[in-house]
Amino acid sequence: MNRPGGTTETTGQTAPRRGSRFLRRAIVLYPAAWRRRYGDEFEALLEQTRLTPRILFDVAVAAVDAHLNPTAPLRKWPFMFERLRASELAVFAGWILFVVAGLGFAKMTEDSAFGAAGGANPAVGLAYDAFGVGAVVALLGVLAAGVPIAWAIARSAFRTHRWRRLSLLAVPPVSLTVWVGVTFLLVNAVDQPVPDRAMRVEYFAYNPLFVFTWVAVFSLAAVVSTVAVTVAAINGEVAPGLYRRAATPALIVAGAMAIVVLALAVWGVALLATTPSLFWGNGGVLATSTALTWLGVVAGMGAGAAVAIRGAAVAWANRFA
Amino acid sequence: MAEARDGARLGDPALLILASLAGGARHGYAMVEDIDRFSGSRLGPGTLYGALVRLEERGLIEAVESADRRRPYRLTGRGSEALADEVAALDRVVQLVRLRLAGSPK
Repeated sequence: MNRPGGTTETTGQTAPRRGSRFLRRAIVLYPAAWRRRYGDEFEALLEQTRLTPRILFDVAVAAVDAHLNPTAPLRKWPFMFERLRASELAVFAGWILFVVAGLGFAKMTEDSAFGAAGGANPAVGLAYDAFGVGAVVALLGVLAAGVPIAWAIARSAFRTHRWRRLSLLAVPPVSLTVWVGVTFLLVNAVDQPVPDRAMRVEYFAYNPLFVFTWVAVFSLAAVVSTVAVTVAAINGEVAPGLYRRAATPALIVAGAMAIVVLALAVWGVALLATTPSLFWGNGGVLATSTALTWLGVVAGMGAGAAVAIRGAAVAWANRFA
Repeated sequence: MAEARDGARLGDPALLILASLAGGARHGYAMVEDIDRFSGSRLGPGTLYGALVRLEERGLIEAVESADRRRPYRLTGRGSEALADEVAALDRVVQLVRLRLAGSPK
């Protein structure tokens, strides 16, 4: 396609911000689909436009026209935008599954035998380090994409006094607090005459009922948090630009998750090759098979990564929505 | 006035927008300023975006990726052809009017 015009004049003409708050709010006169597609850029233009009766009339008439004559791209637009948002929420849900499964690996490798295997065998140690670095990058990516969106939802909910929407955002930290509280209660509920805290934790770790409760509460907290964040994102008033910008960190998150799953696979194979006694032993969660725990974690984290990779690819394809 | 390639005529704001974008990609405010400079017409934000939306729908312009809230637009190949057709038609009108004015009694 021919691209006429060799120059790009996009930032050179910056005017003082003369637009009033009142004029910016005139954007509510437009249809929702129109606002989602053009709202950000139109608001930026209104911010640079002096409020006069002629301008106000111009905007009002154009808004009526936008209601009466919706154009084809706008009829297609909500679908594209919703795909972008849904795919980024899928990346978040995949990451949550990834974290829940990854907790099993973290629990298993608390045992000093795994640390020793990593120290003695470079392949095991390197794979473990790659796992840690990838997990941190994925977390940072989730924060980079999610914090601006969560902040926009919170700010809008606070401004419009939508407390129920604001409370949805409080669900993840409250759920985490509840889970930490349950952990504390379970550790202290160990019915053994052991005053030493480390020993109580040891008893806890080998008590199936306690571990099952602990994992169930964490999984429930993760599911409830994911649903709450999804509902808040769907109903929240967020500038489409934030979702567009989140497509890049979403891709980074998915890439980091793929690296982590690969590192986990390499870790298991390297452990099998270098320390088979540990691999075939019962060093897994609840003193179960190390190999089975490893396979379960690979399956869980792999499923989470697959969901995130698909979501990130769709988000990237729709990032201009 | 000639018709654009899809059979629909270009209105004045649309023509001014295409003429502005012929000089390179611009966001909304830059277009308003540029059009004001070369034509003396200052488009209101509603008029500008009403025309932009329709031009985008007809594939005559397209949005350019931008980290800024102010999204730039640029001409497509089809938009460039539509603008050339429009200018040629205007040119014929201008020549005809000149001839008639030259032949009219003083």
